[in-house]
Amino acid sequence: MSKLTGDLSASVGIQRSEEALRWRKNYRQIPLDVMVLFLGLLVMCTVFAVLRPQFLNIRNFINVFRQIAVVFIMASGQTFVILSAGIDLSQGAIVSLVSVVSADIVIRYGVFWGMIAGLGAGTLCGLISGFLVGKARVQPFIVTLGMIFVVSGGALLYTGGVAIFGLDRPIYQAFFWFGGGYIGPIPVPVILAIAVLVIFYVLMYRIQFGRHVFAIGGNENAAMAYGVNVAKTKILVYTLSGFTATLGGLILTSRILSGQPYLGGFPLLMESIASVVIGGTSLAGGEGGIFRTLMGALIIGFLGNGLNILGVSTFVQQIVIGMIIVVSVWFSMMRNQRT
Amino acid sequence: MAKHYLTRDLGAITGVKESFRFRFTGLHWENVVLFGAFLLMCGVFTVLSPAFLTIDNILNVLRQSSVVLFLASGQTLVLLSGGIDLSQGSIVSVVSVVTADVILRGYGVFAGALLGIASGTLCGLFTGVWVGKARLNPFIATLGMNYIAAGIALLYTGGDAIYGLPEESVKIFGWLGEGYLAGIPVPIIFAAANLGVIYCFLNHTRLGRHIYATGGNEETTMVSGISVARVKIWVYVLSALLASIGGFILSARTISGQPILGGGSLLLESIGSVVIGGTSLFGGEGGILRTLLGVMIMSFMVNGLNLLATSTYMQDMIVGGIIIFSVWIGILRQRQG
Repeated sequence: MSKLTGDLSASVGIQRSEEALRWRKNYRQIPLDVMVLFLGLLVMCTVFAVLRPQFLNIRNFINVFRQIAVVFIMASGQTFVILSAGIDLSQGAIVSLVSVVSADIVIRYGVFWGMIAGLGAGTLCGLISGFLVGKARVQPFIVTLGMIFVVSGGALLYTGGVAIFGLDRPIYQAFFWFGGGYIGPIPVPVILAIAVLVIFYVLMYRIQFGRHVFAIGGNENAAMAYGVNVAKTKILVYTLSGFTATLGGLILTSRILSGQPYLGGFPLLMESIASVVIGGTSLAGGEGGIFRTLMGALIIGFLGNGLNILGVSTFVQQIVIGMIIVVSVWFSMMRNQRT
Repeated sequence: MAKHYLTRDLGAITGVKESFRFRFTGLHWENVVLFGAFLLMCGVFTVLSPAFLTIDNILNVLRQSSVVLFLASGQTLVLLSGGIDLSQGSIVSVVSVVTADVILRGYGVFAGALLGIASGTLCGLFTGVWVGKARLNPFIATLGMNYIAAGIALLYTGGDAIYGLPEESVKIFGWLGEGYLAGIPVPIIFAAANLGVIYCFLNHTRLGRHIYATGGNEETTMVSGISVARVKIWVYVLSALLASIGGFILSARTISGQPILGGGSLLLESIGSVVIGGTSLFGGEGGILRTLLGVMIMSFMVNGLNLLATSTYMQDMIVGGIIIFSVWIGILRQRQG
């Protein structure tokens, strides 16, 4: 690990040593950044708890966590993409496609094949984006912008624009369990989110793949010069992002028990990107991490919940979220300038 | 790495004259190819559907595309400067509700247009200062503004649409959106005027050239003594202004104030047409005529496919494919050249 960073800075020359240092710093994840975010979250929750004691209700917390789970799962894939200095705008559209495909196949061939088909369709979209970004070297923004049109058009075409109902029969109970069930007191989506957190932590910090993603985001030419297979890594990154969007789509579909071609619109995508950005992962790539995204998702989730309990309209909530996006990035920028 | 930077700067300095000439004449061979593709497409539609090449149909398509053209012109300026504006859709919504509300209160269409467009432009001033002065990433600044402006539009009306505008105002308001002047739909006249102004602005004013310079190489531009912050503030203000005019025309067509008017695919169409036209996402390369071509390709293709009774869902897929493909071709060509 330290051998890699040492070699990298040596191979790209003196003017890059600062960046390499920063890269190493972030690679180890200064807990300070995450701690500051966590503190902000705690302060926010305390304020809500003082103003409205029912905020601290355990049922409310479980509910919020279940809502956050989907956004966090999608945002964790997005984190990888953004760390590689890309962006995935197609996540929302993938959710829609997964919803209609899985619902249709569940009804036709049963729960197991429905899940497989959904996973396959969504992950395939990610793979195609990855191929276009990694191999054809088209800009990520363009590829995934085009994929929004292609995939959401595909989802609508699949059903002819209508929703697929009929998943609420008892034989499909296993499908509902996926999004609405519990293991003990904990909702299944939350357990899935925890599993994603653990797996992505390993992918990001414990194996070579993660280091390559950080390296590509920090300085793609240097990474390539060092021998990182940039194309392969990018393909994997976008496939992972498609996979997490798929997982989110399956959970949402199972919760509402129908296939909706409009399930994952612009708002869902924006929440996924906003979680990553509020967490402080840089859109320029190479800086950030999965725990920051967790904090970002928690802040958005608890903020929405707290403001709901306070009776603040969802319109005002949008304005608040917009301001938090701008201010949080502004803060982390000023902090970076000072150091 | 050092060598890479050096060559890039040298290229920026030595290449300036040449690239400016290309921009002024506007006859890059890429444009010619794109225009050829456009003509070919129109030819195919004309053969397949007799209704395609009629004056009524063409005027109709042009009228529909005029709103997107306004948004896309603003987006072109932002992309040329190396940024991106994700807030255009929400700005359209803000303009719609403010305009309709002012008209509803009886102040007339002129005051409505003025206040509506001013409120939208104000949003752009904020993002401009965030990007230019505070040096925020454009994606983040405009993403934040997208949330804020959408929230403001919804909050303004409490989420409801504004209907029932006064009778005398509706006549003028509706005329601006749906009416004709000397046989030509009014929005087309607006769009044509906009096109001329932006073309002159980009090619014949100092600020216009500074936008290209900023997008081409920000550091060199700064070293040359150009205030990059000022250029960027202007760019976002102008983008918001153009989006606001587009929003005003769209509201005039619906004769109402809709807080989610710009929440749909308007923003994606705006970015999509600029990109299809060939303006680079990295800034410094492209122009308004290319954007016009991009808008025309998108809208005539959708129209032609409609006439051929292709489902709108299929059209979405084709548009997406064209966005990716058009950029891919450009990249392949660059790598060969």
